[in-house]
Amino acid sequence: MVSQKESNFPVVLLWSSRVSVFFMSYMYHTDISFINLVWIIFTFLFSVKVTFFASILVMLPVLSWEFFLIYAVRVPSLQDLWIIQEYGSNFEWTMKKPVFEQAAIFMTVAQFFMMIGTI
Amino acid sequence: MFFFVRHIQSVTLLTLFLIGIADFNNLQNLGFMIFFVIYTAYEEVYRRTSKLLILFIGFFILGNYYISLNYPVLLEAGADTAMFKWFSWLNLVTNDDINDPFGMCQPQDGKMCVDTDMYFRLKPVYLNWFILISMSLLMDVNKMYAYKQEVAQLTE
Repeated sequence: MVSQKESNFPVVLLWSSRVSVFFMSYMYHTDISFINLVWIIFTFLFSVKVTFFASILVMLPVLSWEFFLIYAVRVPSLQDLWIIQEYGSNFEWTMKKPVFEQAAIFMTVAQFFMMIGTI
Repeated sequence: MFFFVRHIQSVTLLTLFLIGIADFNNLQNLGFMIFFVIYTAYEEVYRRTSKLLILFIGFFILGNYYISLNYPVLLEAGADTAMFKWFSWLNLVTNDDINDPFGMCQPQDGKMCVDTDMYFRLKPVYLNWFILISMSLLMDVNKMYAYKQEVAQLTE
């Protein structure tokens, strides 16, 4: 049986992550999307292994933070938390298609978590 | 086939050079011309520095995005026609209109108009992304030539 490390899975995962992050970057025209865009350029410069290692260290926390705030800002019972009041204002836009957008962000974060299993 | 793949960077850069030959006075086309000349003349330099092509095209993608985020602020701070022309020369803006350099909305009464809806506000420059992927493929091909002994055997 071919393990994930030996198969083409990391390359497929990298390309799907690039496409997801590209989509998110242009869907939301914000400063955080610029960081996502920098990550895409970064992935073209280094090997898959280096890219995954750096992505787990840097992009995974950034995307998780983004996902948490986008989600938590829209949960009424969490509005009083200091973290939402402090950082949530940048994520309070009205979503056009909430289910689709949350799913897109969730899938992107999930892909970054899958990178942990490939290095 | 082997010979063609070995010099594929020259073919690609020549194509980009010819595409941009109609409008030479901008950084992107000048850059591709310089890359074409140097990398065709010195293959070893290309083998060692092919990442520069990705950085070069990455500059336009990131610059376009960054300036589109900050252009309203720059205008308020006093950005003028000279600055717009500078950005235009750097290929960081996509429109010729100083009040709407990214095609994000229609200017009203000659003033800068910013579309408040951020969804897909900035359209990606697909040509740049296509070139980026092409440069990435070139770099992958380039890696095959890192093993000099095997390359020498195949060349004989």
